[in-house]
Amino acid sequence: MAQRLKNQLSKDPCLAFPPEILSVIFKYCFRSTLRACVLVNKRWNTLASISLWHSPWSQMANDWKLISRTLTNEYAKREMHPPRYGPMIKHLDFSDIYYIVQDFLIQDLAKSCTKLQTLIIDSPRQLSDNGVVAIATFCTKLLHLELRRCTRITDDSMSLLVENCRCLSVLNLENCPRITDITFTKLAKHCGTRLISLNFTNSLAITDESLLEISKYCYNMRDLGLANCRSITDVGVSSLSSLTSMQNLSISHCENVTDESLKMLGKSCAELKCLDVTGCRNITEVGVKCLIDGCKKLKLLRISEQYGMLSRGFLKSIEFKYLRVKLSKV
Amino acid sequence: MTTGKIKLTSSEGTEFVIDKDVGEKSILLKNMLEDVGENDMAIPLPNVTGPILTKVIEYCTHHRDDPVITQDDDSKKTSDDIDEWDSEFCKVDQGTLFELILAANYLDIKPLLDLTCKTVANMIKGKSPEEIRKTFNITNDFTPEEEMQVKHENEWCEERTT
Repeated sequence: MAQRLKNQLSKDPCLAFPPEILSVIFKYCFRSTLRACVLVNKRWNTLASISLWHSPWSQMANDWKLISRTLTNEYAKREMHPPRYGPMIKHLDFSDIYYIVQDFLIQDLAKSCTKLQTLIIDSPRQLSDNGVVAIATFCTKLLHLELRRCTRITDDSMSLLVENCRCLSVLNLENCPRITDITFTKLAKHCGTRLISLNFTNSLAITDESLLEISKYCYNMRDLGLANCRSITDVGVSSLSSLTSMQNLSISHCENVTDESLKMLGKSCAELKCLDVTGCRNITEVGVKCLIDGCKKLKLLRISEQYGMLSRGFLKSIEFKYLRVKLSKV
Repeated sequence: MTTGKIKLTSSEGTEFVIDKDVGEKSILLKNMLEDVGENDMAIPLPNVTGPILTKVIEYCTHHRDDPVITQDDDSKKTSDDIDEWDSEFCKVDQGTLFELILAANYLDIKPLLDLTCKTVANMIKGKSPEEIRKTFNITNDFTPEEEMQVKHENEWCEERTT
């Protein structure tokens, strides 16, 4: 019987293996190899395309034109043929190719990429609410969205997006100065417990109102980046103590934050591993002591030695076996 | 009664006695053992032949002390990082390699599945479509027009260097 089994097994991997095994094999192939694979025969084409189109990437603007043309053609013909490539696209990362990103490209891609899970954009050449509205309309399966340094986008498109994309678990809107509490209060209500990571570093418009909503709905939050959100105060940060799964928190340069916040975090955020309070000039030894007494898992504390409130001797004394205290120059 | 040993039977009925920690490299066996608890019953593996099971046990024994990787990191996937022992281990005929893949998948031994899949990826690497067809004895069923279209649709793909 063993011999028979051996004879039955095809020499062709695409006949011998189920798709889940082939996806592992193709995962280890470079794009140049996959490009040869899709030309082997029809069966190989079907199976290798899934890997090749999973996360299209190129630094050439012309390549993106080709991709968007192929997608637009199949989009136009979708009455006759079900689209092939569009739904295969799961991951688009433009973080190193900012110059590719413009509204019309994002609009074309969004229309076809209905199963998109991850989208990363950083410092786009040109991205306005029009592009984001297209994402909000078509890419409703998004799990992970980063729109970093998108200076033109506003609450108009983002609040539509957080209403439509309810699976979001990671959202990074750092340095998007026009996004305000309107987006974040909606986000907290719609995405609630799914959210595990949220970054709005440098959002000067964000106030305690956002934090109060987040602390009410987003119990599974693990990473929260609030660096330089200068409008937030103890009221907002203290409320975050209800997020007991929190592991990484940055409130650096939030100058209104005092020991009150650290006391609250120390009381209930037992999972906290990294805390950045660099440049929080109202923090004293009292607050830091409460924090480390409560947060036994704390591994890294970033802090500035400042204005005589925290002595070097004190910081040395709290640096025990596990906790690393990183000093930043003021 | 903790014996520290478990019994397996291959598809042709051959019995294998192995150390429990070696067997637990297989998530399938690990879960089975957790469910049924310790007893002397042999676990039947009707999908795995004796020679293949011997190879699988050889792999699991060599890697018995490796740390368990729970979350796989998708950021860097290459087929080049195979160590010497592993690459010697994979020097088998294609039929055996394919059976090892199926066994690793069935027994749920992720590092072995990754290793054997990498080996197949290396068999494809750098080859033209025609060379791939030759390697695996495949017939081309594209019409010239279809081939042109597929070629055109995929002309964009470039290696990501960063």
